[in-house]
This record gives sequence, C-alpha cells and structure tokens, in this order.
Amino acid sequence: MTADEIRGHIDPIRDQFAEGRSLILPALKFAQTEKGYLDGADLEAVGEAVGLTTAYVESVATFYDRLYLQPTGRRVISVCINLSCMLRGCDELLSHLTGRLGLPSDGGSTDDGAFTVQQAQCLGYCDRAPCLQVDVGETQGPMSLDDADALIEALRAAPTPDRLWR
Amino acid sequence: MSRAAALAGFRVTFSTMLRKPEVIGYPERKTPVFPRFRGRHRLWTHENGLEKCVGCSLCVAACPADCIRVVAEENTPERRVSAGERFAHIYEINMLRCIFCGYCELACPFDAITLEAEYEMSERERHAEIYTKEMLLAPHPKPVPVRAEEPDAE
Amino acid sequence: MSDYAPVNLSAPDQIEFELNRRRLAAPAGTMLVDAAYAHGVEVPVFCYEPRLGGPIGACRMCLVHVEGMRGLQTACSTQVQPDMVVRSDTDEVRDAHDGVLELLLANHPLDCPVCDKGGECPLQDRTFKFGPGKTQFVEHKRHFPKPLDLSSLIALDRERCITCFRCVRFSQEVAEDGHLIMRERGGDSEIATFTGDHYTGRFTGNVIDLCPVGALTSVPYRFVARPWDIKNTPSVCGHCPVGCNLELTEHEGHVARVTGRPNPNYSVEEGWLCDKARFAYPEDRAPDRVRQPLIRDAAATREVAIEEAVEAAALLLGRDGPHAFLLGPGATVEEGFLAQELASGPCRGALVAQLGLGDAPALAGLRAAPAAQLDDIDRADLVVLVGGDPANQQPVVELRIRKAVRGGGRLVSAGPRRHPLSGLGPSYITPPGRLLDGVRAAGPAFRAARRPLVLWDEADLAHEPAAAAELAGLLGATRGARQLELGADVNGAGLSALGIPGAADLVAALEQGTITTLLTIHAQPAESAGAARWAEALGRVGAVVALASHGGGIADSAAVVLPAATHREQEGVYVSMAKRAQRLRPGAAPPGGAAPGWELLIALAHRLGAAPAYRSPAATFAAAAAARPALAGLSYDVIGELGALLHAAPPATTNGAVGGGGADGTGLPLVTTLRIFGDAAAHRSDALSGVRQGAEVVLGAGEAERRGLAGAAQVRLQSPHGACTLPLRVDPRCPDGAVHATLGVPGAGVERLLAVDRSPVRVEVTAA
Repeated sequence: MTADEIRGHIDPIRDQFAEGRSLILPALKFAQTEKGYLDGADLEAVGEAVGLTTAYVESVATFYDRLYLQPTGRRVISVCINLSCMLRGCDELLSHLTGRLGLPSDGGSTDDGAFTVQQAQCLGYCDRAPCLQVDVGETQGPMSLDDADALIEALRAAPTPDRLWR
Repeated sequence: MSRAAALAGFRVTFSTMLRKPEVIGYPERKTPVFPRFRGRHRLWTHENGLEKCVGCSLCVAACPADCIRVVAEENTPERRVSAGERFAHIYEINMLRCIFCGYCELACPFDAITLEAEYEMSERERHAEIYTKEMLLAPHPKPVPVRAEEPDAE
Repeated sequence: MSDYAPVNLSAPDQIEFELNRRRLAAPAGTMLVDAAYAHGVEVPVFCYEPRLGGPIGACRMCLVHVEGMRGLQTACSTQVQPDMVVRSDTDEVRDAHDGVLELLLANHPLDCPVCDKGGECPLQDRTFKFGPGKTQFVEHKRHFPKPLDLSSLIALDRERCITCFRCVRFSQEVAEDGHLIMRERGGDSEIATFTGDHYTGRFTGNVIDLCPVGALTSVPYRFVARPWDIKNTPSVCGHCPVGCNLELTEHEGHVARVTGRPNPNYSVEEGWLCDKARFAYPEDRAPDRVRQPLIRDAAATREVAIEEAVEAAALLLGRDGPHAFLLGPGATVEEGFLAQELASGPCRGALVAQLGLGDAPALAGLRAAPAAQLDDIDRADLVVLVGGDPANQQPVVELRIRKAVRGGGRLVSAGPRRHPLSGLGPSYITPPGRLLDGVRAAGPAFRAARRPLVLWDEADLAHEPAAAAELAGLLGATRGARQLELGADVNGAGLSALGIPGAADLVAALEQGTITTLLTIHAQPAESAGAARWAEALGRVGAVVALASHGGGIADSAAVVLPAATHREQEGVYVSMAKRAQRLRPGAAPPGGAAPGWELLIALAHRLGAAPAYRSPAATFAAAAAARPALAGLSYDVIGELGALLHAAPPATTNGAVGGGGADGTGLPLVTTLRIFGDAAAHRSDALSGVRQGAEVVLGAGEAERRGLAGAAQVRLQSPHGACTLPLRVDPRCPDGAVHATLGVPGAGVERLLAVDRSPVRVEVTAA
C-alpha cells in the first residue's frame, strides 16, 4: 500500500487525535487490509504518511498481536484461551478447528491461504464461553464443535472481503 | 635449679636421641604432602576437551602478588577453545612472584584452576619461571604423593 | 555514567522535605532521586537518565515510600514537594528492591565472568547493594543467539537486556536518528533496528555508556580488558575544537578505550561523545605510527636513539637562520609556547606560524560580541547557524541544537551547504561569497527573538567580511543576543591566544628559499589547504625536522623525525572554540622511542644551549600564562577537571591574516565539506573501518546537466592552485551554482585546489 492511500484514510480522522503520532494505529490497521499483513514496504509507507521513522513504526507493529508481519490466511479465526473459555472447553474447540484444517495444535495458516487460526487472550465473552472471533467481526459463542464446523463451511462459501480488516 | 628439674628439661632431648632416624631418599622418594597443601597450579579441561577457563581475569583481580596475566579472545565456530564466549588466549603465572595463597582457586567461577601437590618448581632461567597455559594444562611432570588424610593434632 | 542530575543545593527557593527522618532541602522541581543523591542517599535506578529527557518509570527500581500516598512511588518521576515525608529505608521498600531485582534478573544470564561490563556494571553493583541473595525462579531463562552485531562498533547481547529503554530513548530523543527500537513486548521484548539494519549514525557509541547492563558493548574493546586491569584518566578529545571531556582507558601500556566521563562536563559535551572521539583511538597503534627517531640522509634512513636525533635536530637548528616553526592544528599551547621561546632565544628571528586559519580581521567584530558556552544553546529560543556543518565538523554541537529545537527553540540556518541540521528549520543556501544574503534573510527572525544565539563558522565567515559585519551588527543591536564560534582547528584558539599567526608569511618565506631549517610540530602542510603550494615550497627549504606522531607526508621526507606522542599520550592544554582552556592528560605512554612534544622541544632547547627554566608541562604552561596576556590567570590548578575560560582576547596578529578578496580562478565556486569519518584519524583507526567515508564531488542535478556531466563517474577539478580527480555524485537536493568537494580525506587531494589561507576559489569541472 502506498503512503498516499494511507494518507487518504487518515487525513479525514486527523482532527480526532490530539497528537499526530496517534494516527499510527489507524494507519497500520488500514495498511494491512490490502494483503492481510504488513511487509517492510507497508511499514515504510505508514512511516511516511504519519511522519515517523520506519523503525518506530516497526516497534509499534510488533507490539500488537493483531498487526501481522507474516502472511495470514484470508480469514483469521481467533480462539479465546483464557480462563472462562478454558473451563468451558476452548482446548477442544481449538484442537477441533486446527485438526479439521490440518494445522499445528497451537494454530497457524492453511496451505491454501484460506484460514489462519490463532490463540487469543480474553475476548470479553466469558458469559458465552467458549468464544471465538472471525477477523474483526462480532465475537461468537458459546461455540460447540458443530458450530465450529458450520462456521468453517459458511466462511468457505462466503466471498473474500474487499478489505481484510483484522 | 635442682638436678631433677634439669633432667626433666632434657627429657625431650634424650627421647629424640634414642628414636630411630627417619630418612627419606629425596629426590627419588618424596615426602607426602597434606591434602590441603597448595603447590603448583593446574588448569583443567572439560571431558569434551574444551578448556574450563573462559579468560575472565577474576584470578588476576584476586591475586595479591599480581603474578597472573590473562589475555582473552573470542571463541569462533572454527576455533572453539572454551565452553564460554571467550577463552584465555594467554594465561601466564610468574612462579617467582606467586605466594601460593590459593586466592585464584577461590576466585575462579568455573573451577578451572586449582593448586596441586607438586612443589618442585626450580628452573635454570628466570624467564622459565613464567608458566604458560600449555604448561599449566598438562599433567604434572613430577607428581608428589599426597597423604591419605589429615593426621590428628599431636 | 552519572545516573543522577546535578542539583544546585545553594539555589534560591529551596523546598524542605523529609527523607529517612532527615530534614532536607532541594530546589523546586527536583526529582526525588536527584535530591536524595545530592544529600548522600542512593535510590537505585536503571532507566532514569536525566539527559534523555523526562523520566519514564520503566524499570521500577527506584520505589520509595511517600507518606500519604498509596503504594510505593517511583522516585525518578516524583518531584520533591514541600514537607513531603519520604522513606527509602523501610522493610517495605527493601522488599520492593529485592523483588524488582529478582524480576530483572529472571531472564538475565548472569554470565558476568565473560561479560565486558562485569566489574563496572550498574546491575551487578546494585544487585549486590540492594538485591536479594538468591532467586526463587527455577524456570528456564530465555535464550537468544549471541552476540548480535548491531553495527561494526556495537555488539548486542539480547539476553542481558533489562529493557530500560535508555538506548532507544537516546536514539529517538537525543540523537534523533530513530534507528533503535524495542521489538515485540513483554517477555519477548528485544532491542532491534528496522529489519535488522546496522545502527548507523554519528553518536551510536553513546548507547554503550548508557546501557546499565552488558547488553550493548563495544566491539573494538570486546574482551580486551577487565575493569581491574585498567586505569582511567580524564582527558579531552583532540579531534575537533569542541573539546569534549572524555576518559581514556589504559590497558597494558596503550589506550584501549575511550568513554564519556562519569561526571560529564555539562558546559561542554554533557557526557555525549561522537563516534570519532570514541573509536579513533586505535590510530595510536596504526601501522604508520612513528615509533623510533629517524635520521635520513642521501644514503639511507636510520633508526637512532632519541639523544642522537635531538642532537641532529639541534645541529640543523643551530645553523645560521632564518629558521621557521610550523605548528599543526593539534599542537598544544605548551608546544606552541616552546616554539615561540625557541624563536626568541637560540633560533632568533625564526618564523612561527600555525597551519590553522589563524587570526582573521573580518571576524574581530563577531568575536567581540557577548560570547556563549555550549550549554547556552539549550536555552536559546532562536539558534542562527551561519555557515559550517556542525554535525560533521563539531559533532556534539548537533546534539545541543537538536535539544534546543526539542525544547521549543527555532533554528534558522544560512550557509553554502546543505547539512544534516538544515531540515530542522528554515535554511537559506547561498553560493560562496553571498553569505550576506543568508544572514539578511535570518535578520527578521533574529530581531524578534528574546534569547537568540548565533553559531558562526570560522572557516566560512573568514572570507565573507560583509556577512561577518552584518552579523556583528545584528548581535550588537539585539539585547541578550550571544554568539559562539564554530572553530575550524582543534587548538586554533589556543595557538591564537599565544599570538601565533597563520602560515601565509611562512610559506612565502619558504618559496623565496631563505629558510634554512623548518621544524614542523604535528603539522602536515602537504595535506593541508594549499597543498600544491606547500609541496613546491617545501622543496626549497634547506632541511626539515618533523616532530610527528604518524608517518606519511612530511615525516617521509624530513631529515630528522622526532617521534611524538599523540593527544591521548601527552599532557598539555587545548583551548576549545568556546575559549575554554582544558587539560589533556596522558592516557598511556607513547610507544617505543616516542616522547611528548613538550619534552622533545625542551630537550632541543637544552641542546641549543638555551635551557629553559622549566622542565614540566605544568611549568611550561605557567610560563606561557605569565608571558601571554590572553592566558593570564590560568594554571593547571585553575583549569582543573572541568576547564577554565580565557577572559582576555587573543593578540591581533597582522601577518598571515586572512580575509577579504573575491574568489580566484574561473568556473564554479568551490564549496568544501568535511565528513565526520572522512579525516586522517578515522582512516587510520581500524575500529572505524566499517563507517569511514571517502571523498567525492557533489553537483546539483541542474548543474551536472548543464555541464554534460550527468553520466560522468569521475571528474577533474582544476583551480588556479592545483587539480584533483574524484568520483562524482549527482544529488538533486544539492544546490546549483557551486561544486561541493570533500576536504580532509587522506590522499583525495582536494586540499591542492585551495590557497594556503583557504580563500575562496573557483574550479573548472571536467569529466575525467
């Protein structure tokens, strides 16, 4: 993504932030909607658009889990592994998902580039544990293993979004 | 002074006179030293052949006689000498200066240097008294017997 | 490094507070850690470093109990308040120190025996003093491959890092190079550069001093010595006229390391050193170092004993004169004074001159304006930079200017070249000879400022009398305005204080063939401005005696070579560009048969039958101070650790003065630039081999197009004085109307294009 495209996204929201530096997160989130992850050129473009050094942009990008510096699948499924979900069977949910997609037990990306399954810290749906989230969609739960199968099928059938918000 | 008192004073003398003389045929035979005797230094290697010494110079810091010189170098994948990041490229002890206090052994964090039983360290040249790392790594050329245990206090 | 900010306990408006049941006072706004330290209570810190800007409270080491506040407070980010009651000695605080250190050490490899920091490590010291004796952690520590080369100068061991952010803050907020970052978070945090690039910059070595653990260590000093094997000597840098205070580390008879002083000189370098100051020391052991005295005759070159060499030099200088003495820019005040004493005694009538700029009448008005020190730059609301390129020529000044701009000050620069600071504010690039336009453009901002400060470059303004006069007028007309000279020569101010002029008359006398013997003292005339003319003139002198520390140039042809100590190996006084006299102290003895210059010159005076009444550098300086009004009142004791200011102006010297006059020759005006790692010292030091810079010619895109040089790889520059051939770089950002060439690179020969007095020249540029 080019610096100009990023500027086009952040310029309208510039006045919402007291400090220009704060635009780095909206800029990074937007920059990764193109490919689903950020490469070195994207980080440089964000730095140029926000007026910070690329090194600083990288330090911010590595800090956040949901900013990806490695290629991801088209849809990212985040399974909560914190206490409530663990008590309600997130381990089974996770191993079911990864097993079905042929991934390592702690998550990963499918070879066809369709899915990434990852562990997530608390998603705030403890009352509906075990829960999971697809991309930045609404958190879903409680998820039975059948629900998970249905979700995968639904996602396979759904068209790939224009912008890969994560 | 009474005669009895004088004789009592000579008791030790006479008893020693009558004892069988103890002769040890040095240098063919050597007096066994006590286990805690502090003699010539020895540098040790691990079982895999790597030197224990990493050239940290703590022995240099501890040495009250200032007789140790260490020059460290970095281990490389091609030339690995010690187990750590660095090794002693030069390790020298000036035996003329050493007072055999054993502080180097105490200071060593890797048990790389110990003071052994060997005490024959006379050389014909002064500069030969600077013992190099190769000399200190090798087993002692002139081993000395060590007593089995500490004798009881007499 | 000193971790605590200096506190002025005698300032007015002190606030009273209580610390550990003692009633104490400190100025308002003082941080608790600093106030405590000033009163002899050490509150341990790791991340706190007042020179890096505001506190960040990252390490949690400085926890103290403050009465009335819930929980323990970080003393580094808490200011003293009236009647605040603070305890740093309760069990609760001790428990907190134990806990924080235990946590910091949880992933620390404790490989102190192989760590270069071991023995002078704040983490080690504070663990002994404040930490627990044992740890409850039994888990595996994190491991990284080690060490990682952060650059050719700095090794990074990520296992030892305690994520105090000091180096990152230095890179982001002091040097503002923005290279160093913290990647990842929590337990995975690691120091890194963008995608693993080398950390490059002019000040990178400071992170070694800043690191409170052994995570960032010096590559040239790696495994060289342990702290108990070394001797540290406070001295002064001899690579530029800023005069940064530094510490020389001696190990096995030579200087093995250069660091910032533990107690920085806040009026000069504030503890920061440029990488040249820090890593140029291997030049003392460079292969071309002169180690033995040499006598050279038609038949052969012989290594001789020092007595024989001095005898031979005395024979040459004892002949009928006139003789001449030429001092290099790095000669000390003592060496200059001894040369003058020889010229007024046994070698009566000898010419004494310095290779540096000397006195320029055009600058008298500027120098008479109220003078500033380097720390005044911080407080200026407007910094006007006229000419020069401080980032490369007086590097530490760059950090001061950046600090001023960070603090809300503005920078306006005018000069013939674009430089790393041009982007910090409005910049007026003027062709050589037209600097007046730039000064006029800066005028309105100057008049509007309350505390303006002018930084003016000696070399650029010496030949721009109109600009200098305009600037002097501005300074005179503005209340509170001050000026600071950006000097051209290391000890130019010191030699000028002795009244030693520039070398114009000396070179003229050499050309006439009247000089019997030339004694050079740390001087390399054939590698200085006017190199072509110097080479010609040196051919006509009867004999040359060279007092030199390194071979090459004049030391390769002189009849007698006296091996001299470098500025890291001898005592002496340098006067900085801010007119601060500071003492050099020998970090180590010179190698082989080399000896300090003052010692050789005194020996020479003895041989010439005019034994001076003094035989130590201290006594020599005392004699100089008594004889020269500009040095009045100074002595080694007065100068002390932090230096002393010269109060009287240097005597005006009429001969050899530079200034005025238009540019010689035809073609484009020549703008010379200097590069921080492009001088002889950087090229001799093997530590700097990864960053050293070569010479090049830079042309603007338009100018290159116009002259049909856009595709040329090499160009030939021809001035009325000489010619040289260099690689060409076309830079679209480079202003047209001038040709830029790198000065000072050994062997490049740009010096040949210049006149001896460095007056402006024009050069013809042709493809080579």
